[in-house]
Amino acid sequence: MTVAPLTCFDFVELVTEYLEGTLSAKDRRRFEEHLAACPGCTAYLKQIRETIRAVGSVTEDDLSAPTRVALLDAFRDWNSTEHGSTGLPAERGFVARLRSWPRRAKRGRPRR
Amino acid sequence: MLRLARMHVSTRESAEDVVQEGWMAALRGVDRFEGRSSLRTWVFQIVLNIAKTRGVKEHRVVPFSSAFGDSGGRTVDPERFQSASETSPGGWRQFPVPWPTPEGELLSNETRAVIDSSLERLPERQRVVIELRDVDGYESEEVCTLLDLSPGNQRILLHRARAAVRRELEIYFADPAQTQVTP
Repeated sequence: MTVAPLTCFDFVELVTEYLEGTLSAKDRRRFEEHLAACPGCTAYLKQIRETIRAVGSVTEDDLSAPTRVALLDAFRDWNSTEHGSTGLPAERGFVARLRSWPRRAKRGRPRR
Repeated sequence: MLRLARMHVSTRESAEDVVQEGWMAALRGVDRFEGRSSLRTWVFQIVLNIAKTRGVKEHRVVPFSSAFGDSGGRTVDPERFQSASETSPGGWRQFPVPWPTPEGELLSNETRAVIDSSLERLPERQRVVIELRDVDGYESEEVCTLLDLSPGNQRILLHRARAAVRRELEIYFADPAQTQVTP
């Protein structure tokens, strides 16, 4: 049984599933075969990738200064008490995260 | 976190209170953290619960219809493709025009402003999903957990959001002078 080739019209609605890795093996093959043969869809997919990267370059919303100061004070108090002493790995990670929190860089992950 | 909180409460100030309260609750309750989820998901869920509770008090209702907008399901204008009577039905009439190289204009301040304003205009749930995924770098599983979405719905929201931002960028790059950017 032959599978109908993908049209550009349908291709553009599959790009996210393709990038998310959720297409079935068969659909992925149809997608990639179309991609290899179609400059228009190649350009479209490239623009979607560029869009993702460009969106990733806008800054995160951040807490206002007063809220941040109040929270940091709370963290300091909390750190100076006996907390963090149960030795659970998860808890140590938690404290480490709190310490690095105010100066954390963007949580971006490497883009594919 | 602010974004999540703001889905449920009415003002930015209120959202900040929620985030603060959530972190405080996390600090107090860290002994109860059992490691069944990632730590950040756990903290987020605390924040989310507080936001929901407060949102109910503030009577803010996020209309569910905003989940999928009213775009009729197509993310690219069907006019861009050939009809059944043309030579290649479903094929592009005109290929998308390549954009300036990423290293240059794509990441300029003005481009960012275009992106900011298009994010602002997205339906709320699309906006939150694309921001969590593509700005904050969360994995799809985390976003599903945080927003109580099925994987399929999360993908649909992300798909529509990315396509909408791409469209805005396309319009902007086609004629930068014509795009009014509201700061």
